[in-house]
Amino acid sequence: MTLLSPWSLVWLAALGAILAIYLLKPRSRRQEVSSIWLWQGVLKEESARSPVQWLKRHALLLLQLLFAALAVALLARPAMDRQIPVARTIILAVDASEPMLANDGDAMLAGRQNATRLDEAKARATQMLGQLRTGDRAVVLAMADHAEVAAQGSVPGDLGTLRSGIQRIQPRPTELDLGHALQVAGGLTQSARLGEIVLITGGVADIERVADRPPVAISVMRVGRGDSDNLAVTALSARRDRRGDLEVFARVRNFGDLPATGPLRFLVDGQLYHEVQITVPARNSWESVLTEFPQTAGIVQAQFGKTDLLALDNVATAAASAVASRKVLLIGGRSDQLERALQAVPGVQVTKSDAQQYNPLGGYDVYVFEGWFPPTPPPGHWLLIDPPARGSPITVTGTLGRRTDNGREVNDATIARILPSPLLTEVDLTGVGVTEAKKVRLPEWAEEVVSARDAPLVFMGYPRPHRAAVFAFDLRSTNLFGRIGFPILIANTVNWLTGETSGLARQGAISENEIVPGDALLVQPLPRASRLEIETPAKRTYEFDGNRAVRFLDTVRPGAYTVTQFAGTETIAKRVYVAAVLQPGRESALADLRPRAELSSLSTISGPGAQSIMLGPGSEPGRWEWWRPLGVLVLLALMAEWWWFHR
Amino acid sequence: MRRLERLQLVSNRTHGAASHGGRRSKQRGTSVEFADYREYTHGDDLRQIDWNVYGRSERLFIKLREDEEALTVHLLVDCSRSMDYGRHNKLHYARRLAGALGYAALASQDRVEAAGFSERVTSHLAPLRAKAQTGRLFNFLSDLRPTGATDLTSALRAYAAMHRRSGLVFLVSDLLNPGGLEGLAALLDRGFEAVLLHVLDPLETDPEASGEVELYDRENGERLRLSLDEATVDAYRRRMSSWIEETEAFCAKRLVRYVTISTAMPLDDLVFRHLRTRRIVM
Repeated sequence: MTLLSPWSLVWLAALGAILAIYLLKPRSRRQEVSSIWLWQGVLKEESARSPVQWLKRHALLLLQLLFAALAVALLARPAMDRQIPVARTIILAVDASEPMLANDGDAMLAGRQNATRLDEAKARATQMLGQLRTGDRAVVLAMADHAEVAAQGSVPGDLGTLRSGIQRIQPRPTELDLGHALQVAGGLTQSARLGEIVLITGGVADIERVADRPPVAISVMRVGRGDSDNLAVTALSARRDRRGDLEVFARVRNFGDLPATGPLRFLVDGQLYHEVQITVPARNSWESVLTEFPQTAGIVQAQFGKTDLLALDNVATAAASAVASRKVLLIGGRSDQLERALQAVPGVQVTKSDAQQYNPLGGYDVYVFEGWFPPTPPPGHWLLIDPPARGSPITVTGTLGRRTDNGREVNDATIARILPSPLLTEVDLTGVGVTEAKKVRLPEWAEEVVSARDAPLVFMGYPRPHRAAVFAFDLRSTNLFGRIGFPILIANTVNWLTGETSGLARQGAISENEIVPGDALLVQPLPRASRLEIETPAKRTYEFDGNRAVRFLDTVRPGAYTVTQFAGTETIAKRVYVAAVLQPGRESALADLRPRAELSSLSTISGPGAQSIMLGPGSEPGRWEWWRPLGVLVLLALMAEWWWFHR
Repeated sequence: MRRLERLQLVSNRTHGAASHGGRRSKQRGTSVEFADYREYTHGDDLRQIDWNVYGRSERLFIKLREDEEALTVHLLVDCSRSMDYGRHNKLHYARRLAGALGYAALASQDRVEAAGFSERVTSHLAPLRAKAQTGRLFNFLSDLRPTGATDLTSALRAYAAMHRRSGLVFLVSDLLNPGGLEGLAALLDRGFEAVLLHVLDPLETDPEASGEVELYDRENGERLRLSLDEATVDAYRRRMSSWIEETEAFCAKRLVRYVTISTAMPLDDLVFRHLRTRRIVM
C-alpha cells in the first residue's frame, strides 16, 4: 500500500488538538442532589464494568479521534497496487484459407460429420466469445491470402453479430498470408488499451511471411487433427505445339506417409476424355505429359478420384484456348520491321494503309500511326510513333539529339530513365541508343515509361475513352531494329493496349490466364466489342456491356472462367482464365496439410494447451485508491459522533 | 380544614394516657363505659368489685370499664439539608404534611407534640392539647429550617430518651442516612407506635440521563463525578427500588407502618386518599 499524498499526514496533529481540547475543557457540569449516598452505590456497580464504562465515558473523544484519523487517511490518499480490469480488444483471427477445408476437424465440436478445420475453427471462435467480459470488444477476422473483418462489436450487446459473423466466414481457396493477417490485427489493436490476438488456424502457414508482429499478446489455437494423407494435382498445364495439337502436363503429388492408388481422370470441356489408374508413392509425385487431345479443346480438367483429406486440390483446370483475335491498322509503315513485329504478336491481324486511305469509321482494335495523326482521334486504342510537330494530341516543343554544348558534343536524346511498366516486360533496353527524338510535353493522361534527361521518350496512358502509347522518336533513329527486345516491346504494347495483360490483379499468378480465386477479374473489352459474357466454373453466365471495362468479382470458386467478347452476334474474342487452387510454386505450401511446428513460435502466451486457450486476465497494473470506503467510514464516524453527542 | 377535622389518626395500639382524650383505650379506666369482668386479685380497688355478681356466683369479680384515651401524636420532621431539595421542596412538603396530621390530631382531642431534627433534635414543640393551639403548631412547623446532616439514629434515640410515655410517632423523612433506621428501634423499644412517611422527590426517584455530571451532596458537600447515561440512571433506579424494598421489609418486621410519598402527589390526595387507603388516617 502506498500513500499518494503523504504530506497530508501532518493533519494527524489535529488528533493531538482534539485530545488537548478534550483534556482542557470542563467535562462535567455540577448537579446538586439531596445525597450522593445512593449514587455511590451505583458507582460501585459501574466500577465493576469499568472497561465498558471507560469506553462509554470517552466514547465521544474516541469517535472524534476516529473521525479525524479517517479523514487524515482520506487526505493522504492510500492506494494499493493491484490489477485493474480493462476492457480488452480481442481479435479472433479465423484461418479461412484453402488448407482449412481439410476434413480432419473436430466433428463433435463442430456438430457435423466430416467437419472441416474451418468448421472446428468457427466452433472454437464461438466458444471463445464465451470468455469475453462485459465491455470487451471483439473483432472477428477472416484470414486467407488477405485478412477481412467479418464482424466486430462489443460484449454483450453485439454477441449475436459476432456469432453470425463467425458463421458467415467462407473458405477462400488461397494460401494463408499470416503476415498480412497480423498486420491487420495489429492495426485493429493499435488503439486498444489491452489487445490480444487469437489465431485459430489449421497450422498450414508460412511463418517466414510474418515480417512484423504486433506488440500485443498472441495466442495460436490449432484446429484439426493435423493429418497428412493428402494428394493433390499440383500441376496441370496445356499448350499447343506448332501444329496446334494439345499437350497436357499433369503432376499428382502424394503428401501422405502411405502410397496412394486411384484413377486420374481428364475431362475436356466438361466431358470425360481419358482415365488412367496411377499409384503415387508416399511423399512422392506422379507426373506425365499426355497428348492426343482434341484440337478444339478449350478447357482441360484433371481429377484424382481417391478420397483424401482435402478434395479441393484433387481437381486442376488448365486453359487451352487461343488468344484473342485483334485487328491492327498500321498507318505509315516507314519500315518493314514494325509491320513484322506487329504480325508476330499472337492473335493480331495487321492491315497496312496510309494517311490518305485512313477511314475514321473504325473497325480496328489498335491504330498504329507513324509520323502522322488523324485530325480526330481514332475509334480505338492507338500507338503514335514519332509524333508530328502539329496535328496530334501530343505537344512537340522541339527536338532532342546530338548537339554541341560548350564545345562538348552531347546527345540529349539518350535514355536517362527507365520506369517499371507492362510495356517493358522482358524487354532489355541496355545498349539501346536514340540519336534523335521529338521533344514533347508529357500529357496529363500519360505516365512516363522511358525518358531522356529533359523529355519523355516513351509514355502510355488513358486519353478517354481508349488507351494510347507514344514513342517520341522515329524507330529508324534508334538501334531497336534487330534487337531481340523490339518485337517483345511491340507485343507488350499491343497487348497492353488491348487489355491482354488484365486479370493479374496481384502478384502470385505467373500466367496471364491464371487468377487467384476470390480476386477481381479485370476485363478490358476490345474496342469492337459490343457485349461481354463471363461463364463461371459453376456454368453460370454473366453478361456485360462491351463498351466499358469489367471488374468481375465472383471468382471464389476454383476452375475455368470463360470470357467471350461479341461484336453484335459475332464472337470476336474468347479467353479462358483459370482460378487455380494451387498457385504455381506454392503447391507444397498449400497441399501439405501437416501443421507447421514453427507456428508455435508466434505465440507470445504460453497457454495450458493448444486446444484450450484462456484469454488474458484483462487487467493492467494500476492503483486502487481507498477513497470510497474511507469516505463512507468518515461519514459513518461523523454520524456516530453526531448521534452520540446529541443522544 | 373541615375535612381534616373529620379525620382521625389511626393508632393500632393503646398507649398509656396521662389524660383522658377523645378515643377509646384498651387500658381499662374509670369511665362509665363497661368493658369486661375479671377475678379479683390482691391489691385491686375494693370499690370496683361487682357485688351483684358475687351474690350470684360467690366469687369476687372486678368490673372493668373502658378508659377514654387521649393519644399523644409525635410529629418528627426531618430538617436535614437533604430535605431542602426537589422539584417540590421536600421540607416544605413535610411541614405541610405534618401540619395536616397535627391539625387532624388536635381536632380529635389528641395531644400533639412536634420536633424537628437532623443530626439531633434541633427544635421541639411541647405537647398541645386543643385545636385552639393549632396556630402554635403551624408556627413551629413553618419555623423549621434545613440544617445539618441526617443522623436518624442519634436524633431518634435522643427523642425517645426525652419521653417517658409512648405515643404515635409520625416520622417524616427522606431517610437519606445509611443505617438510620436503627434509630427507630429506640422509639419502638420505648413503646412508641411508628408511622414512617418516606418523602421523596421525583428528581430522586426518577433522575434524567444528563451526560457527564459532578454530583454535589447538599448535606455534606461531597462530590461525585459520574456519567449520567441511561445505564447509570437505570442502575440508580434499581438501587432506589431495592433500598425502598429493604426499608419496607424492615418496617414490616418491626410493625412500623411505612408509606413512600412523592412530593409530586398533591397533599389532598395524599392525606384524604392515599393515607386513608393505607389506614394511616380514617
